Amino acid sequence: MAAIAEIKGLSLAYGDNVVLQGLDLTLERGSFVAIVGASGVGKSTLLRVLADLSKPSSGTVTTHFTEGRGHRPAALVFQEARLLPWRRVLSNIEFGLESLGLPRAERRDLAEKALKLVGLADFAKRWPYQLSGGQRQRVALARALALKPDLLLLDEPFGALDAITRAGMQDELLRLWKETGASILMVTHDLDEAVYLADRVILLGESPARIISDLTVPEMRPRIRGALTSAAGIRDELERTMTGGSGI
Amino acid sequence: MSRAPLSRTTTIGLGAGGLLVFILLWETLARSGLLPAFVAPAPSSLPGAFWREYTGGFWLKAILGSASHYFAGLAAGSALGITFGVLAGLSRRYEAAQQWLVRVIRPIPGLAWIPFAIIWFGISETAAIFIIGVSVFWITYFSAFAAVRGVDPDLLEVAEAFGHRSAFAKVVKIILPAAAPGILGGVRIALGQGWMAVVAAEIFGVPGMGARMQDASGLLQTPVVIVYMLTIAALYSLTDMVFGQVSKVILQWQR
Repeated sequence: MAAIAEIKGLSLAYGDNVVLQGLDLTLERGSFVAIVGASGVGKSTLLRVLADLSKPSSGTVTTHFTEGRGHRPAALVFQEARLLPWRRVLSNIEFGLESLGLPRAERRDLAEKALKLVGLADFAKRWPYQLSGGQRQRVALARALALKPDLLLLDEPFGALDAITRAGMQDELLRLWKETGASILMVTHDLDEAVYLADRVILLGESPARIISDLTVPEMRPRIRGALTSAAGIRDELERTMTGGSGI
Repeated sequence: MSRAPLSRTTTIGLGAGGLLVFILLWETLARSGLLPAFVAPAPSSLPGAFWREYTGGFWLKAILGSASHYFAGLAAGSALGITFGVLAGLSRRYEAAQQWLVRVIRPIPGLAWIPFAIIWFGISETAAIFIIGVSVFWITYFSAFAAVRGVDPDLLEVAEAFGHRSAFAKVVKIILPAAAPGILGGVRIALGQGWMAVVAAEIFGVPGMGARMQDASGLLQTPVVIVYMLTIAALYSLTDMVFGQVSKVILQWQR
């Protein structure tokens, strides 16, 4: 498989606070990679670098994004939906498209398709405050997917949702992954979520962050949630490493 | 002390009742001779005074004169206040550069500008507009400043993540819409402040309700003064209500 992004010797410091140091990571095109780890180990910082929101202090990030009009190579979904409250749902999805210089009609069309993709076609005219937490997060997903990104960056996207909504959103995400063929890099602190969704789970630990474990989840798809399979073994291994590392 | 909320009818009834008791008490005091008419005219003398002002054509003329000063002063003062407030909110450098100047000018009451208004503009409409403008400037300035400073940085990050990276794009797409509720809230307070300034702005002779009140008080025509006090209260309620409705439409995205 070809790489979509290669990170070599990535370091990032905010003043004296070194968050990432000498991190190497290659992401395969079309893969679903989950990053787990305790809070504050620089998981989100890694996403921010890939989304071009933070500049690395040193090291290189080489991306192999497809060139072309009307798309953005990397799109980010935050833990909170962060919709713009003064825009209706459809207009929120158009927000990212507005920076691409597309004609208005095409923008609208792409936004409508993305909204349909997340199953909220009937909600185009609603204001964000009229949506539930899960619906808002779907709109945030649609806002990212509308850009047809090569790399979808998810920063604990379901962390603020209740368990039932979260399970529904996870299956929705797997469907969208299959349909769009995007590569996904997802930060989560939920090990069950990581082994249920991802091909590969990376455990980041300690500060500055380094990769403690890099495990492939061999489980077939569709997976069965919480089944006692090889995925469960990986989950337990991750948990042992995590708790062992922090001395609990 | 009961903490249970009152029903709507009870609230309205008590409000009206309180006002009625106040008016009756005032009327009784005036009729008993304890309050001479030139000190405080009886409420029953007001309808007649209003009718004479109205039929004489003074009332409408005074309102039109005042309204033109009011709206021009409000528009100019809040446009400038919002502009400078937004600028100070956007730029820490600009804020620092103007901060001492603001500290000097800010506490000067609108009334204190009257001598300069007359020197600069004469006894003219412009002078009245200037006084009203000054009195609404600071309210709109500070509310716009606070609203811009209070914009959620998470939303600015959304703009960056989705390709809107220029300062102009951030101002237009995030900062101004996010600050709109605060800015409009400032304008709403300015609506009341502006009416308060109208009397002061016209009292030195620019034709309008303020000048008419000044003339009437010179002749001890206190009922006429009260007629215009009540007129200003009514005009304030009207502008506030209309603005409230307009804001509701503009800010319909708020819960």
